[in-house]
Amino acid sequence: MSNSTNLQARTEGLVIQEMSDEVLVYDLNTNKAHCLNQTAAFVWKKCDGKNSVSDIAGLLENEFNAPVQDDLVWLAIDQLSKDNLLEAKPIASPIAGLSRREVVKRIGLASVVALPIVASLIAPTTALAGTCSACAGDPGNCNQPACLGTTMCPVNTCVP
Amino acid sequence: MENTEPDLRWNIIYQAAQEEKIKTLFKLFRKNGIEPILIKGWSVSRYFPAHISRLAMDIDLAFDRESYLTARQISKTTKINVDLHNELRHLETVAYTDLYEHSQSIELNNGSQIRVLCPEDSLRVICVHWLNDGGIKKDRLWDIYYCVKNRPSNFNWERCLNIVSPKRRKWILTAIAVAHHYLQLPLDDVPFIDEVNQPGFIPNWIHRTLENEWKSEITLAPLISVWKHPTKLLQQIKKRIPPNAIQAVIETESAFENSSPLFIQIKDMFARMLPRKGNEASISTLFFNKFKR
Repeated sequence: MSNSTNLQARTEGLVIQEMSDEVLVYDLNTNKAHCLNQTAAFVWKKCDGKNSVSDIAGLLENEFNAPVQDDLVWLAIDQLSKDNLLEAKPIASPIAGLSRREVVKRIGLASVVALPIVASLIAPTTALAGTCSACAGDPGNCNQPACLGTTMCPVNTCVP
Repeated sequence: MENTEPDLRWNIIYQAAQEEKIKTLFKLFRKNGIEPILIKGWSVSRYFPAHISRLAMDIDLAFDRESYLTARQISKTTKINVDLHNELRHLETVAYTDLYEHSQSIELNNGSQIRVLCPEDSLRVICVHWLNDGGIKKDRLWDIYYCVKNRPSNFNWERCLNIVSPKRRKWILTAIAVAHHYLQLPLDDVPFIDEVNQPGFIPNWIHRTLENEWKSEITLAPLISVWKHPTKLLQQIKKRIPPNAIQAVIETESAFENSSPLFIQIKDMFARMLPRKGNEASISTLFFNKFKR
């Protein structure tokens, strides 16, 4: 499996904020924000283009002092890839086509290491939104039909 | 993921992203020898408490008249949604050179230096901007609330209020008084407290206009954005008859008086039918430009 060379974390166009036990990532290209828990963040940081999945699993084992299966790393990579946080999609994933529930079953409940989570952060509903100048100046700039007739547009999601 | 409140987490990363965009823009314009001033948006959100989101879809930058056209060309090379201002036009009567002289260089969390209006000028601009939008955005009244509430200890009310005409001074005080009335903005320590506490300081028609706007399900939107949607276009035209009274007063540079602003509204309605300099996207401007060709 050629998983050793294409696991490269994306760095361009991202704003990264390290928190005490998680990493917040903002994608400037899509204006989407993500929150990576400790496990997902660890895997992401180790995607340096050199480490293989097994290498990362080994590093995780050392970090958390607990056994880690490759599938757990794959689960993280799968999510990171879906959220466009890797330079390229991994060539072959053994968990491709499996649901998260099935993967979790494979990893087993005995896993001491927390399952990787890449959560999407959305603007709070109470957010004080700004005027969508993209709509106001040129409606063609905004692909949200709901924008028409409204001036509120928090992060590309228009609300009346 | 239990340590950080979801909203706070969002705010942290959103602010960091905004600062990155601002840093990129300042770098871009400075590379071309242009120094902008950041107005509204992020420069206001820094007065907000950390747990409250204040979103902005674009980044507002003001330029002096000489740099504006070059800045427009440069802005086409970036994907960042930036709103360029040719000085401050209707938002301000103080000379841009004066505003620039009093502007401040501040450091972002990412270490870059940017330029913003001084707090006194900034408050004046956001008050006029809010009024110029007809006060339709109640949520934007929080901008005024936090800029006053969390102003620096050396805030100079003299600079804020008394370097503009008495008419504009009343505009600013009215906007602040509205924030006091509807959002309970504390005003105990301001030098104009007695003035704004006078009965009828905020004309009744302003209360009526605001309350009608805030409960209205139809938000005022640029006609050009609904041009191809007949129902919405009709709604927007109906909403403009009569025009928003607050907006009409500001647009026609009139004063906030207790008497009915009906004549001002009529005057504004006719003025709006004519093309306006600096508003190239308005339907009337587009129509007249087409006709001229």
